[in-house]
Amino acid sequence: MKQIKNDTSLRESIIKTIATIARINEKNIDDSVLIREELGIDSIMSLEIVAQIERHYGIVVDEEETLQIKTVGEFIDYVQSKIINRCHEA
Amino acid sequence: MKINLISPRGSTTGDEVVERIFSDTKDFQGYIESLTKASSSGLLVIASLTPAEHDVRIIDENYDAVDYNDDCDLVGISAMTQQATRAYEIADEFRKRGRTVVMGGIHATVMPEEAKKHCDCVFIGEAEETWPVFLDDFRKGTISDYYRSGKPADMTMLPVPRYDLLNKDNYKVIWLQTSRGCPHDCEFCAASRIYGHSYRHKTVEQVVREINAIQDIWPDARINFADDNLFVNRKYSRELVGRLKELNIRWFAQTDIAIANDVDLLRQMKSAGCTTLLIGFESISEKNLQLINSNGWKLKKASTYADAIRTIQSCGIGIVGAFIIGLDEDTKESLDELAEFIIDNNIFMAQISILTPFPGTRLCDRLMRERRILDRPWSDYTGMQVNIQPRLMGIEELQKGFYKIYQRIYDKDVRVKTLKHFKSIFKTLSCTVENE
Repeated sequence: MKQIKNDTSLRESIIKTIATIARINEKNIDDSVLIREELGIDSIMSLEIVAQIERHYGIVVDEEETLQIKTVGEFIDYVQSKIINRCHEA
Repeated sequence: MKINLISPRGSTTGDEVVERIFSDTKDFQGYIESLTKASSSGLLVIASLTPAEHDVRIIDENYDAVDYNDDCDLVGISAMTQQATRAYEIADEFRKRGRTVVMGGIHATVMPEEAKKHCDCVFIGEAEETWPVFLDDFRKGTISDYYRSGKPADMTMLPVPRYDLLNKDNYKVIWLQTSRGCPHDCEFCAASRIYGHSYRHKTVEQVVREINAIQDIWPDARINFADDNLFVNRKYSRELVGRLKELNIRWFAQTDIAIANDVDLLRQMKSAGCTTLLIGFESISEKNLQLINSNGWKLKKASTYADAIRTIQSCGIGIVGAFIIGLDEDTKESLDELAEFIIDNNIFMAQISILTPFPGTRLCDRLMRERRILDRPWSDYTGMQVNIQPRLMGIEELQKGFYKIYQRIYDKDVRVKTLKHFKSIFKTLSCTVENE
């Protein structure tokens, strides 16, 4: 399980995970981009990304909730909130 | 010469109830849209076979309006059966304005006389050989009523389809065909009437060139392989998958259940970007499977379905399970059993089709003899509407049974169960990768 040093490294790490799993150039991913419509990430790719992030950060995310998320920025915020909750619970 | 190649509008489902189910679960499955809003690969091939001196335009009516007053010299229309009614309307309008109209594609191939009533000439079968002959005849003013392909096209000689003619912003998923022909002789299949049963494929280098051409336009494209069965020739498949790995693409393909016997290939496919595989299970009833395949291939595989699904999906590849309902042994109860089979086996997604007597198929011939084909328009041939009198069910009962399966398999609790199942697979796989 990795520790998050700051928001920037979390953001970079999540974008790298998305880019690797969905085989998209990192340069085409920013906070405002739509995950499904613009990046073409479907539900099976989303689950692979979520599984990787869960393992990496030791968090548990709700599968249905993540499918409702529209943009990369919203996804990063969502993961960050889960990490903060985990830290508070620890 | 100015040539307009037109793909007529196709309906997504042609059915309000199904449309609502798909729309409500769009976050979970966007698969259907990638099928119905796909680029017409046939027209891109025709465009690539047209000499550069001609000005060719592709008009995809799913996105572009058809301008009947356009000053084109020639109109080419390609249609599947469900697009045929609309194709004829377009053809009639252009002919009223004095334009020469030609038609091809799967529907015109199996219903040439019907198509001819709406156009100046019809292409029967693959057009690689006949299109250049036609263009020459057109230049000389001596076109024939019908252009029939004499022999199967040599796939290794095909040029790269003109992807550059597509409106880049309209397509997120690009379809690419590597092979034609399928060895399985399924009663309901229309594609084999055009392509036959002998398997022909492009060279791996050709496929790579095509993908490079696609990536030049859509750098992060998703590729859907249009082949009915991409993995018939395993030696070729391995070589192709090896090259796909270098191209950093995500892709979808269609194949048969025998792929489960080759776990090494499945792992290679996953690491080469394969996300999902459409597999034609057709039915879980042995009696139904007996009727589908003249060589009994699918029947022999039926007992392996559950294990095969587990094997494929545990490699991180989701299955789009293709099933047909309304087969001769289907009953209300067997439809319920099918829904539970899909759920119990965590099939990632299912494509349920109502048995449709596509013209030109053995199924159509048989049901016609049995007087079981209903008088419905071609636009109802979407696979989501009942066009036949089922043997053991009522017409309404089958249509309702169709809705019920989709409602059951896309029920929220079922979807969450499937999502959790796949998340757990991906977590296991990521552990394995880290430990290697």
